[in-house]
Amino acid sequence: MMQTIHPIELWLEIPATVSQQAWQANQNYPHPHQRWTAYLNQIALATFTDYLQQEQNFPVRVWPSQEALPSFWGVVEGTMIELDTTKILLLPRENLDQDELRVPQEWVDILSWRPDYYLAMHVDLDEQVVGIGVHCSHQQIKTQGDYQPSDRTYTISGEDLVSDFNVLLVSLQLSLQEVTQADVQPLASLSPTQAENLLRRLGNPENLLPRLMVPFSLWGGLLQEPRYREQLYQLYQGQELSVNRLTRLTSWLEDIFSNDWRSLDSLNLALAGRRSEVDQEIKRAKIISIDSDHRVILLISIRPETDEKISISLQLFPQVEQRYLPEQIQLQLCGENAEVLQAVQARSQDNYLQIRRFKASRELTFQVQIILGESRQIETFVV
Amino acid sequence: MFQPRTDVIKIFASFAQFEEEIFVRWMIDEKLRRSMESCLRQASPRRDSAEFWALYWYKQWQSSESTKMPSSLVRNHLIAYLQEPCYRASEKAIANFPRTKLTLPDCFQLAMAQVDTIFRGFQADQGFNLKSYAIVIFANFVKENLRQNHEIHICSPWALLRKVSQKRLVESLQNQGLTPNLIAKSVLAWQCYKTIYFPSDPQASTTRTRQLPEPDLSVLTEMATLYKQLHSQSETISPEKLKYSLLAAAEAIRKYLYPRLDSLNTPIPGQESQEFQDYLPASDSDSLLSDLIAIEEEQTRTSQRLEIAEFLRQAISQLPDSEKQLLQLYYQENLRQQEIAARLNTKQYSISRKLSRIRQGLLLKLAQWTQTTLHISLTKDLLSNISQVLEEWLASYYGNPENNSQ
Repeated sequence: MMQTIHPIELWLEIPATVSQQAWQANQNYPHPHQRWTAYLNQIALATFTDYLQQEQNFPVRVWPSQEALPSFWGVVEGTMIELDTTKILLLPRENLDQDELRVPQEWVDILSWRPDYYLAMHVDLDEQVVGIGVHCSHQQIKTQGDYQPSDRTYTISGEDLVSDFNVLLVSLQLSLQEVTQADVQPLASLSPTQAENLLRRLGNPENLLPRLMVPFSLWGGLLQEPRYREQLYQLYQGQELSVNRLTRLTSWLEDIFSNDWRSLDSLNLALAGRRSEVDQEIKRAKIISIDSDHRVILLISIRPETDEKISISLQLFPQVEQRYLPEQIQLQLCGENAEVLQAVQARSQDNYLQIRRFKASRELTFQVQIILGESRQIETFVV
Repeated sequence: MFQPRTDVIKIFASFAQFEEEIFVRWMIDEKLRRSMESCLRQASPRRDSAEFWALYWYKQWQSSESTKMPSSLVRNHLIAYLQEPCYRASEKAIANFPRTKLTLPDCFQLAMAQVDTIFRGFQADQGFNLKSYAIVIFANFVKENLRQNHEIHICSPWALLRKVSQKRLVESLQNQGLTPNLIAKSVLAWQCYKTIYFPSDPQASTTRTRQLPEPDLSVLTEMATLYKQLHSQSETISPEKLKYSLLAAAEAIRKYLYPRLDSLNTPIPGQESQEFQDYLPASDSDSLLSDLIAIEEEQTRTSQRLEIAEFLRQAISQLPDSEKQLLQLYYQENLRQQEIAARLNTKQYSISRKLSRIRQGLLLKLAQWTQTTLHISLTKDLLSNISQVLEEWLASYYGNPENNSQ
């Protein structure tokens, strides 16, 4: 006999524009199941966040950033939010029943992806509502869950779970102490060559289920590195592999430069060269092809600061024979999860764009995105 | 007309009997009657309280579980005891769900099949009673079951396949008597289906997911290709065969929600069976009985339960009238959220949010009160118990006619 002792008590209406937007915004995946995952996740996230902000006084954040979500949804279902300091992984479901909670291994065994709680969200597209389902902690799923190697999931029976969402909310309101996370063995980091090979293999948009193609230690090792996860997403979208575009800025201080980062003289960038006022400043530039018609020059200036940090400035110039940048071209400074930190856009007849000088600590990863129309080029840097 | 029982022997020894979909009489089970009579003779001083005997049989059930000697006699006494809450939950659910195909006796039997869940989930030490806990579980179960039943009824088979968990699918197939090997193949076909086939435009009202049509041959072929890739021995399957496997799975899911009632492990009134383990060693039950008397007396002394009840009565009296009304409709009339919404001329999700907010508020208050009054440091598990206590209390508070006028 089936067990259906958990009725869903809390149903939230999907705001009118949300499902439309979610369907429109997620067209760029090669496979329908990825689009469907993104669609359900975006609906669940928007509806639930809306409710939390209206009814509860919790500050809600998307982890790691709103911008990073498409790259998660391209590889695995689930959306992580933070209520204060508690991480909750939302798992959208179309199930009528609450007989089990099934969690992809990525959200259990990748150390940096561990949530405190998993929460099932029952998306009913016919009624346009989201029901708040059972929840459990990482600790529970790791210690009581069954691991199924065939689809790499952990499952836990609904009978063993608390279905009352109020219990979770009130325990957060009262800041109850609970051990929510079990220990997880860290996955080994991949070497750059290993990562590049994996990305070439798994990033082929022909692959339906890349998450099952290689052993989990490799797959998880790849995903735990935000830049590889982003690159995988870019590959799915038909872009070329940009692994070689990871630039380590501290090596510049030791006079080590890769071939594509050239001196300003060699590029005839006299204008930019003259602007240098500080002796210690190191400047290098790279020609970037945005599409077949447009090329621009990205110029980076760095100088070491007294506090072990490095100060960095970014400029974008038209290619040498031209006076102006393409109109509407954007230069964005982004964090490692693609969240936009600063952005500037060219008007007509702009000679250059510039990102305000900023200081960065060692090992910080950031991205520079150059966007023109539908085209987007991404450069990744490690300080 | 349904008449609740008052005589303590009858309460533990009789079952509701239905004819033509309505309740007709209480049917006494002779063996249970003899057992109750002998217990009453042994008990000294004589105890007539049903609550006392419920706790007694519940403790008997616990010890028979822990010694792995399940006793159908003990279980049947408890099932007899829980007839009224089960009847009440079923009656209200049927009345509130006019579109259902289930009859009252069907619903009653389905709900009664939850008794083991109730026995396992009930925490006697929390000081609350088995009956109010059972009311909550029966009502939840029946409401949820009817909701799912309705949805399954109006879905196309292809939509239905999207709307079950893997666990439910596996259990449905087991229920059909499939071998583990066949079940594994069917589950794999279903996983391929879920990876390949989606509503083409979920935004258009004409292609809503409930009416999801049969996938065409090219889609089925894609599924068959994936099937071969994922199968551990690269077994092939024809698109046609894959389609029939999926349709059979959908049929199994449908059947699983309408179980054959004679397969449920609940007692049939009027039938006696002789089982060795039905007769408990006399000495055990004697000592248990004296233990219970001690437990009962201590409970009265500490009266923690009364304090909680008093606290909650106060908390509810402070709620605005609209919130009191909502609680009353939900717990007393046992209406589903949709029906409350219809009565109050609003939307279901607005009722849902309001109810949830009220319960969250009460749970927070009760939790804080527990912390300060009982000097207990709260954990999430304890909070979960408190939430259960709150639900039970609300159900029994609003179930009591004396509180209905408020």
